[in-house]
Amino acid sequence: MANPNAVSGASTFKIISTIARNTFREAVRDRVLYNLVIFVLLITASAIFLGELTAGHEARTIVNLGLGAMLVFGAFISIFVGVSLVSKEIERRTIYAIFSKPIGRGEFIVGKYLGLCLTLLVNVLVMGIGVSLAILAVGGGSLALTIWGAIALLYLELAILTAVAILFSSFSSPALSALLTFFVFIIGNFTQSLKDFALTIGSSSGKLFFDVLYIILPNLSFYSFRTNAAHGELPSAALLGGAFLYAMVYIGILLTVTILIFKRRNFK
Amino acid sequence: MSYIIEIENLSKDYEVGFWKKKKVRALDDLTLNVEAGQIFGFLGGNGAGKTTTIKILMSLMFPTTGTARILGSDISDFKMHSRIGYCPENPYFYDYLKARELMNYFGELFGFDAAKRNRKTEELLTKVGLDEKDWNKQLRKFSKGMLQRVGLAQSLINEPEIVFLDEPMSGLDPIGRREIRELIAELREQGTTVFMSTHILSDIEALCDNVAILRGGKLAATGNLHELLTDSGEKQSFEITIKGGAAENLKDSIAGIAGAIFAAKPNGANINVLDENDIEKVLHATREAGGSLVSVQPVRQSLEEFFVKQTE
Amino acid sequence: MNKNFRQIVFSIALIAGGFALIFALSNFLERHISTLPKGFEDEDLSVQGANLKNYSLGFEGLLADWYWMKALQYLGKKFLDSKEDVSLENLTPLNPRLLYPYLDNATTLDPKFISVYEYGAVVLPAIDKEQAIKLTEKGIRDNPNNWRLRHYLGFIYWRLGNYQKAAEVYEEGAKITGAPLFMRQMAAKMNSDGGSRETARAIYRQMFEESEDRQTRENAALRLLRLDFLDEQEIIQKSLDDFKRKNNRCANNWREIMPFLQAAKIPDAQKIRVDNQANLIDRSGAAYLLNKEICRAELDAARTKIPLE
Repeated sequence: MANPNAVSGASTFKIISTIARNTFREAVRDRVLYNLVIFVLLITASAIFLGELTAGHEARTIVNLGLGAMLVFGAFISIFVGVSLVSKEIERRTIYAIFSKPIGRGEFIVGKYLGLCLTLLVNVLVMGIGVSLAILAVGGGSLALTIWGAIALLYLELAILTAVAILFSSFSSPALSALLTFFVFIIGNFTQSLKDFALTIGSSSGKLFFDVLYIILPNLSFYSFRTNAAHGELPSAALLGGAFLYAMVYIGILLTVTILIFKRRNFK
Repeated sequence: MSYIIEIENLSKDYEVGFWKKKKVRALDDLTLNVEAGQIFGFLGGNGAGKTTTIKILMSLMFPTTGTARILGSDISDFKMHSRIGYCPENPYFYDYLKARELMNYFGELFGFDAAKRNRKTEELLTKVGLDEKDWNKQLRKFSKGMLQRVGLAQSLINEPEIVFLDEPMSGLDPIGRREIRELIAELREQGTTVFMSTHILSDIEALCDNVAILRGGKLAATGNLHELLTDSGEKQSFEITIKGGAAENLKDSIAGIAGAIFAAKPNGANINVLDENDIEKVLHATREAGGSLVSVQPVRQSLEEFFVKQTE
Repeated sequence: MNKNFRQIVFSIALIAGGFALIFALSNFLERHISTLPKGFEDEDLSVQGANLKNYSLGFEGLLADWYWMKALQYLGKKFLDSKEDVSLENLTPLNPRLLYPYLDNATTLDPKFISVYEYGAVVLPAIDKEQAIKLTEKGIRDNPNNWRLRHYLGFIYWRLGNYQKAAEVYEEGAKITGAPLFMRQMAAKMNSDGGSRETARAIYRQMFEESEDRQTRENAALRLLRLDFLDEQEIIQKSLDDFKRKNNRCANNWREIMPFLQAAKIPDAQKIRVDNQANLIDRSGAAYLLNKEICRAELDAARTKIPLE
């Protein structure tokens, strides 16, 4: 049935970027995010005054406190916005109009994911600039620049966490997903200990268990460079490159599983 | 003539209960074909399976068994969606967007350029009767009826060959309903096939060419609306409306006509007869009683009567 | 359905390949992971357990567990990282100066965490005897009715050679209701012959049989092996001396002293094991070496599991 008016439809890339931009727009119009960012900036500002108590270590305190707050609040956004990203669309039935358009479910998931990543990027940039300015304010000098290595790694960690959140939300309720994602965040930061633990364990089955756990769970300790950053260190190119690749592959796996599940979902 | 929508043995079970062990059949072995260029009415009471069918056609749900094709493509082929439109029941959209932004967003998803998006947005929002001052209002401030209009507008943005409307009149006031009715009739004139589900029978009577009636997930009846109503074995009758005259005299003289029913009205009367030949007798009696004729109408079985019979 | 199946197979292959890559990347990253600035890992703990206690929301036990595990891993990592062989008797080359703060925090958060005191009593004397005594005394203050803690403290004094103080502590411990007879025996032994091998054996045997901590038990087992070795070495030495007296030279191999060993008439001599090449083997199964220069049986440092000192 050839139709001269047949619409050819947009390219996959165009669709994904359109959905991503709309997701970003949703976040921008949500006041909660502003509050979180402002909160982090306030914490950083308070570190300036706290720093006076640490006898000449103001800059160090600002880095520790500022980057710590960035991670905690970034993780907060990743988890809570991440789990509601798709479930909210289903619950509010906005997804009906979307999937009656020539849009694949995979395109939708990737678009939503990238949209939140874009939101996180802007948040992290704003918070990072705030921390940098605070460092400059107390005369921390080059530390204002060198912390950006740690911030880059922190951002990759949040990107992984968001993918974990979106995966859980593809098959469980938002509340449960948030809880599970939080656990992964905690365990992910301890996986290096898991590995060390496996080394000290005698039984081979126990060792295998921890080894498998170590591979399946994201090793977020690769992304923890905050303490080094407080000493003015920069991550090596090998660490940055490796951590970037690790994040890409891991996110790729998570999104593949998410799409696989999401493709089979009925929207009642 | 090939069919534009082909539904074959479609069934859908919902799993219910905590362990999803129990199954409830929402749609049972539905087979239905729809020809192009018409308004197809999809009828049924609440829970009859109308929305389930449409959601399966839109790939929002997957059938337990059976297949369906739209425009010759299997429903799982979402690229075909570039040629169809859909307005869900009680539509809800991103409430942080303005009406204009929503239309623009959907236009972008179809790959339209900015000029085309703007043109279609303005054209359609005007067409569905959304006040221009509301175009730049966030959808969270919209009433149910306004959302319904936006829902219709977005379903038409890609000039679809078929548009699926799930309860398109719900949430609208009487004037709004008439406007949307006119819009749907206009779509048919432009050659768009309309597949609309509703339980509002007057809309069906006014618009539809063919209908399908669902009952408890099963197809109860399908066919041409006119034929369904006249071929259903019911006798046709005629309603004669009279003005003025001595009602009592008239009633007496009509009492002799077999099957005639007399109903007095203020300053007149309604008379129902079964035989066409009896009309002349009534008119004669009317003149004798000093009254005058207002109208003579053939009365077919109402859709409501038919519908109630089908779904009982 | 077929298309569906292919999609699943493809996705699973993709995921499996992804995890293979993850595995490789993990190994790569572990080698390049951000090591903390030099000396940083030994930066003093900025948080005191006592301060933490008010903010732990009732999770003191969990936090104590965390410090406990942290302590174990801390020392474990020091061992793995160290290039030279470190004796369990002297851990100072590792410079594990955070161990005490970790154990102190763990026991401040959970003062009844007996395993931690036990671990501290066994390990800390090899690092800093003052810390060892301080931790155990804190334990005794918080658990006055626990005789085990007296045992640990007595053990520490005994290891330091302070037999008089050890006897006092064992004496005190023996008075606690529920204290085993062992405590009284120890008190007596400390006074009479604190430095004897028999006393040591009694202490380590008790530790081996009673301790709840696996590492402590393993350590005690090693100490017992060492004590057995010392007994064996004496017996062998006697035979070597007998041979030398008779032949005016040191034996060339174990075979030569075999008759002397059998004639020694020491009951324990029968327990010395011989392998099929007529080598004397120690309790861990490794052959003894014969140092002809000083004419002495020695442990094969490369093979034996018995502690060398």
